[in-house]
Amino acid sequence: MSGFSSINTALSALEAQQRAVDVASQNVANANTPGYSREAVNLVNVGAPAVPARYATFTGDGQGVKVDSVTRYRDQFLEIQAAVQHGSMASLDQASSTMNSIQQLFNEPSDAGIQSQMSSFWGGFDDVANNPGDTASRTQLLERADTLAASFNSVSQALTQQQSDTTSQLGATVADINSKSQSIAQLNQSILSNTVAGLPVNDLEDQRDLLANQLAEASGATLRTGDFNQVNVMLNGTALVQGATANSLNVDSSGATTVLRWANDNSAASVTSGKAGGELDAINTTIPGYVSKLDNVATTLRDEVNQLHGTISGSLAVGSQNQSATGNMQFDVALDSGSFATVTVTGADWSGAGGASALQTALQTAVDSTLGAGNAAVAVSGGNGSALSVGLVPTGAHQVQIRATGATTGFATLFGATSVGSDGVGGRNFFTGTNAATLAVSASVDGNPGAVAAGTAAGGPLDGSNALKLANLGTSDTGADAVYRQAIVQLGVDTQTATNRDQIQQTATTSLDNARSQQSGVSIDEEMTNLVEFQHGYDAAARLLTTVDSMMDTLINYTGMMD
Amino acid sequence: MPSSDYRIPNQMLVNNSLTALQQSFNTLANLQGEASSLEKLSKPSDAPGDVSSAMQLHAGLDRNDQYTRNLSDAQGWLGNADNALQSTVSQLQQVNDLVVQASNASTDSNARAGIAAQIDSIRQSLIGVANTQYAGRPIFAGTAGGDVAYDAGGQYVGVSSAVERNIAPGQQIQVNVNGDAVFGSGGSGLFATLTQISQAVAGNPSQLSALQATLGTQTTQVQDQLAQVGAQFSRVQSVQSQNTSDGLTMKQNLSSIEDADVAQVTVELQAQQVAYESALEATAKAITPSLTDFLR
Repeated sequence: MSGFSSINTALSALEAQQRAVDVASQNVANANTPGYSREAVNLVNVGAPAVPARYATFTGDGQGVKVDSVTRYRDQFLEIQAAVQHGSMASLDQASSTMNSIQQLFNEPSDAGIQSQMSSFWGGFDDVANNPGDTASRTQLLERADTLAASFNSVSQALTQQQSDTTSQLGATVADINSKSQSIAQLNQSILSNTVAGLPVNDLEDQRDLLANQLAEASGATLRTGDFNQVNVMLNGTALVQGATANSLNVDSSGATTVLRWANDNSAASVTSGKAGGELDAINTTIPGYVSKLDNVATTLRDEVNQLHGTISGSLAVGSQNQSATGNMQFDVALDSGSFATVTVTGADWSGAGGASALQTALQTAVDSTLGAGNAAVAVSGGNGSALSVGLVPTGAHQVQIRATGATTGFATLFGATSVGSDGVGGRNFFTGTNAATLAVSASVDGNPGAVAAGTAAGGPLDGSNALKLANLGTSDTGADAVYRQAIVQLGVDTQTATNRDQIQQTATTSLDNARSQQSGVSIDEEMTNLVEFQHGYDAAARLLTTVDSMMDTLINYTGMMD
Repeated sequence: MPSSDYRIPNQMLVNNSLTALQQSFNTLANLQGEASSLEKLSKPSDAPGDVSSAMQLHAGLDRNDQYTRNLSDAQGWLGNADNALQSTVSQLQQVNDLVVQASNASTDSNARAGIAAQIDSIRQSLIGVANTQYAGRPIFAGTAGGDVAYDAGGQYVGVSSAVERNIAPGQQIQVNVNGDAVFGSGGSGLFATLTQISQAVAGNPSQLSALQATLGTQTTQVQDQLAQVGAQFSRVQSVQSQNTSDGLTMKQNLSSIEDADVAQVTVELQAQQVAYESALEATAKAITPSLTDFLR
């Protein structure tokens, strides 16, 4: 070992400090790069050879410094936790934004929402009751009913639209998941070959980990680390990325519920978290839930109004339970939009014990012979000394319109409680439709103010008693208004819960991200300090070289020279 | 190397500052929204517990407005009925006076013919009263569709049936009096009696005392109805004042649920503005300097 080995030591120091400055500058350059993990050089001193060589003398002072490795600061355990938290946050974000848009669609409480339109609809019936002979108040009522039905339609359509929008959004999310899985698999492959070859993999790992975190956010997948710096991405036990192999997902909207399927075997993939999980939940549960709540309000409204507006019923007082006492009984009926035909009721005395069934048979036979069998059912109960209740119920989706025939009293006698319009026709349903999307004012009433059944068959032309009953439906505890209010309260609670959960998750995720950042983030101050530190080291090593140089100069040029 | 607990990387500082600023600004924006709309309940999630009451109060107020309209309509019906019945009673008393005058032995046949003509004209006037209309509807005709309750001959052509109005939650009131309950119908009706009286005055004064008794009974019947109408009318008036005060109470309740407290919102807004500005200033101070500023 030469006595001037410090010239090598100085060189190794220069190289090492330079490398350290390189790493610091890489850190500074990437201070704001997402996913970048700060790096630091690991310097080790080069000691004496473990086995002294022959002819070599060793002073034991060591041979300088070398860069052993460049460490990438990243805690894989925090990464795995962060993936889970980011997945839940993406799912809760989606839930909260879904609830907020549903809330906006309903637009309550306001003067323009369904609630206020129902109020003015009920008020319209009061106006009709106040002026049964006035076409203006009936027309106003029909306008309000049309507006109300259109509001139900448009809110329901907007919900369905949101559902299909979310489905296309899910398609984009799944495409993103698939492309990220591919990229991660490729990066895994490169990392594997570099690791095996002993090449640096830090930058590849940064890219891969960033993608893995984004993938977890999109799909709710969990990360697992494997040998050779590999990261595997698991979706509820099934591998989305396994080493260098990536599986992919497809959206299947063909069934009643939208599901994700694995591309390789078409089996259903269980995605419950992440953006995709949140979107699936919105598509399959949240939005349909509110569609059905709105449907429930619409059908309640339809049924309670139709019950009062379109039911054909009446009662025969004890004194009139005999056909001879009531005279010739005739009335007109029409099936659906068909034309009216006369029903003539003939039959024996139905005042006795078998009276109810006698009347039932007589009426049913008469109705069937006019309307055809199976289109309407006659129900009769009571009798034998007490009042007889009579009803005529159209079967299935049929509607039977009924009116008096000329001067005969059959209609008012048998079905006196039936509500009739100012044209004397009863049995017309006010609303049709099977859900909120299809709710409409029925064709036989729409645009026909006289069809609004304000009174009853037994009342006079200006009878408003039925309109009064209809107006009072709005204050019923079990009516459409109450059902709607319950739905809105539920909407408020659900939205608040979703927002709160999202905020709580946000806090948890942020603190975990901070922990990750503390580990991996670049601190400019720290890098500046390092720079200064390594600069000084470099200066000193250079100085060392000068000193050795001057020593050698002394030795070579001045040794033996005498003055 | 310092422990990782103490490392504050730049991105973390920036992210934390940004999150804090956004939260602060969000609160500020919410308060500003509240202050400009002066509504604290604008969507169900603002206060799910209150939204049901708010919607009920909205519906209640709409209903209350409708009741106000119904009540003024009811007042119109009953007020007209009241006037008509009072005028009927006074005209019947006039008839009674004329009958007494005609029964007097000193009244000669010429005078009686005059009295009979007077009674006929009162009868015509009473038929007019019986056909009193409110808003284009004869108020004594029940639910009949025609323009009159009694035809020119004094025959009842109405359909006796209740005309009702919703005046308060769960309360309906009958606003009409059926003509046959006041004036009777057919041969036993008031107008038939008046015809008989007029004929008796003109030609057969001996029947007058019996007819006078019938007239008395019928007058009492009118008075009974008048008393009922009066009672209904005062019920409508009391419900009307109740309705007004209900409306006010509901408005107050709704306001306390929905409306922002101006003073409170203003103060909170001011405080939040200060907080936001401080956050901005602190962020500006924390983010700007780094060691680079001090290295030469």
